[in-house]
Amino acid sequence: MPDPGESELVDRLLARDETALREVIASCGAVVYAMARRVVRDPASAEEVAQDTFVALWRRPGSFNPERGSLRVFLTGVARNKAIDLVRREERLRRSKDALLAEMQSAPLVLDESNIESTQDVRAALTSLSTVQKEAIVLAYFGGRTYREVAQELGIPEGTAKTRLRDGLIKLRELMSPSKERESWS
Amino acid sequence: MELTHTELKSLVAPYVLGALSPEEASAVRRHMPSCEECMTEADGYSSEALSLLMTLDPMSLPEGFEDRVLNRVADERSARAPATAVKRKWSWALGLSFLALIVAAGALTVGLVDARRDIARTERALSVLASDEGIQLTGRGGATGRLVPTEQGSALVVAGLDEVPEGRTYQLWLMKGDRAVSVSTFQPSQEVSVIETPKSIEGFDRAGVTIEPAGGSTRPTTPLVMRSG
Repeated sequence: MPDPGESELVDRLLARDETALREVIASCGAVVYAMARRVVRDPASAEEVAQDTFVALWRRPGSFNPERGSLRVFLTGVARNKAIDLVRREERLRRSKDALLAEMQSAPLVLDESNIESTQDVRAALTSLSTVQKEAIVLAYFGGRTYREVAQELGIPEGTAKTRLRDGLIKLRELMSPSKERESWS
Repeated sequence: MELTHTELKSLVAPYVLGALSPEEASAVRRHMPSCEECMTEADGYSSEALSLLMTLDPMSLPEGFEDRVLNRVADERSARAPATAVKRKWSWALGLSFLALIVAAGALTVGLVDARRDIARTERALSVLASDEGIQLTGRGGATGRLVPTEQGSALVVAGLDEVPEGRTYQLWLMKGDRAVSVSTFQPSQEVSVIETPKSIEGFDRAGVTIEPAGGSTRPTTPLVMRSG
């Protein structure tokens, strides 16, 4: 169900109401910035990514569709994509494999999404991934590495890197929504 | 070299995670709409990607962050006042025309949440590009576009344009003889962007795109970076 408050926020953004943008920054800024910092090494560049995310929303509020999820998830996704684009353009801004993997051990969770059953489910899902699956996913997802680069950095064949990414995603799906999994894979 | 279905299927998980080269990602995008098996696989990964997105602890924003964003917005607002009505019209039209739907998908990168829908929209934009409707534009570096009539006026579907430097904007012009009429300023946001405008293309036989100072110009002040025939 779309959040009526978020639909209203979008309407206000469309009406060019700057206080609506301030509200969005207040509610989503901290996770948007966290995502940027997770991907980009340099704090100033991460801030630039976070700013660009909100400016992009301001330019095209209609891009967010409340029917498809929360504004927080949408903006975090936008920030992640912008951050990945940046580290692919400027390799010096990439975070090292060691930094990304060290963070993986303690990755905290902040969940308030209605379509995910509970924080505990996700925590359990992430911790039950094998270390090699998690490494591959973290390097790709937060590190901006292609699967070929994942293979190179982990010293594994490219086919193995693809398999680890796929198996990791499948494992998460099985753990998080077993009924949905059975439906879509039967 | 064409990739086989098996090879493409093995790229779906990396695709969902954004872990492909641009060339491989394009190949997967071209393949998926015609392959139910790969599409279903992509669909199945969406919620997991969503959960990964959220494995984050909020971080305090740097001091003054909100003001810096609002300052940027205020600068754009004063520079782009004439374009505001057009943008609002796009958004209110959501759901009313398929082009408006593409605007929604193309304007910001949605990420991994719904690969199938995003691909379908990109495909629709690409089908406009490949049609022979309206006015075709081509530009440097393989940039390509098509300005087509819509119920509300016209829409530019454009692919392959680089980002413009800070403080500059692309500006679309309709032309006839020596006359050039501004249609809209725009910033391409994805591989394929759709810019919908209230301006009809009727009565014009050519179109072009220039790079202008933010806010746009009353007439082209730089050479065309995209032009028709």
